[in-house]
Amino acid sequence: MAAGQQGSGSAAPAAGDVLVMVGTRKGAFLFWSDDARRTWQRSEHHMGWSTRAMSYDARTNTIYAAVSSDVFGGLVQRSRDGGRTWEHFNDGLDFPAHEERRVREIWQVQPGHAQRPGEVWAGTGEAGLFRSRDEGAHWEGVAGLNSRIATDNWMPGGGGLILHTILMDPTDPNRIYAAISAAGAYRSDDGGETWQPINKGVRADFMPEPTPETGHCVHKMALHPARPDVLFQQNHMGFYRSDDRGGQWTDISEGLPSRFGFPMAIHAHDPHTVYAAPLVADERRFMPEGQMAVWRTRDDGAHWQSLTNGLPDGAWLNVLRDAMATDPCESCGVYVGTTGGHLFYSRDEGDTWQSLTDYLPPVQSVAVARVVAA
Amino acid sequence: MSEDAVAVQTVHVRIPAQIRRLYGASAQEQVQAATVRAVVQALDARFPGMGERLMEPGGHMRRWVNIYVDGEDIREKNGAETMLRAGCEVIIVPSIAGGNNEKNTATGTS
Repeated sequence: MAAGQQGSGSAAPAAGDVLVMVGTRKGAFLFWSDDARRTWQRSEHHMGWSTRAMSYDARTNTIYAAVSSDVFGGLVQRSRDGGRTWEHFNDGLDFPAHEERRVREIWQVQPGHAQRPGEVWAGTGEAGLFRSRDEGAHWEGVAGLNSRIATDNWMPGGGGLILHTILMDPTDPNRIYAAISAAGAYRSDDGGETWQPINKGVRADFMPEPTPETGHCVHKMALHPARPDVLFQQNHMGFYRSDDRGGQWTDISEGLPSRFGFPMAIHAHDPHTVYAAPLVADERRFMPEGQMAVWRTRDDGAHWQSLTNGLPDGAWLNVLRDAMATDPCESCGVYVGTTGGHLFYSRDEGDTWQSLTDYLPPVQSVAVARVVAA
Repeated sequence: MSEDAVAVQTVHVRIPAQIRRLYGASAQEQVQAATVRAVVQALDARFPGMGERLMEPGGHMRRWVNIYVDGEDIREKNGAETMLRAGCEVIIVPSIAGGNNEKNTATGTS
């Protein structure tokens, strides 16, 4: 359907600012600063709406937010003026009327490849991949992947059956990755027409056959634009790296306090440096021994280091799958949001941490970008 | 009775705050409709997209959207095909409702 518009105040980030986009259970928050990252301004948006993910499209200076209501379903919100005003869309962002499955929540909105102007992708629950060719105004289901639901070994994870990760290969506009819980990771090499599961080497101990082709509970996946053939994955069953676009995965969990966790992020300038936030499995899902910690590897997962300087003890916190991100500043910043409503950040690659804000609703997502225009 | 033969009359519709803000609607809208489904269609024509907030693409009411016609839950009547009388009140109530942001009134709670 067509868009609605809502205003939300006059404060907005300027060109060159670092923009931190925080999605929570009850709304979205924007924080922005210069590269010093000492003084932050903020604005609030979509209050009362669960915001699962946000993203920034540098091609068009657009902020996207995936918002949903338990009652009224999901929408894509779009702002072209730094959050001053928003338009909302959902035309075509559901499965065909004759199907039983329905989109009840939007889990991801990601800008498309630089060579595909207007293209934006969305991931949903119930799991589906949707594509817009007009910057989010209209959507169509990606049949090549969505139709596999009927044949592959898919089942809901703790968050439902959801498509939560969409990655673009910056060197090839036809190569797209999607990750689904609990189905596993998929890759398309033809612009989304056909998809193949890429889960070899990933454990699925909860399945009758522990090494199935699909059915894996991937929690988050990422790639670095300078080395797009290498993927990292935080899975329900461990932390993994693939050096061949998902063809084979290597377990790199050794050295972490737990195989279990949700989010992960890659250093903005060093593709070998990756951050994780391991949690105690399985029903506990809080920081081991109540010590808030981010873990960092500088060598592709061969060794891991606990980062706790400035992070609280006695903190039985959970960090959800989209709630960690890095910024593009010269000294790479790292941002972590918790279900307790905290937003911690580091301005020195994770060596030291401080609070950016407290007392938010439970944080569901954190994304960071540099604003290209005011 | 065919749809064409149904008398279309003005009814009063109370819109919940969460979607009222989204579409710039008033707390109470008046539409011409003979059935609850027609109310949803009329609201969607006035506020494009609002229909999908209330009804799924297959034509079913969303699970947690409750609609009362003159105080009666349409699930106890004829669902979306429930007939309306002139001047009746249609109330849309989200299941996860409660709380009141407005100042206390004589009938409010403290």
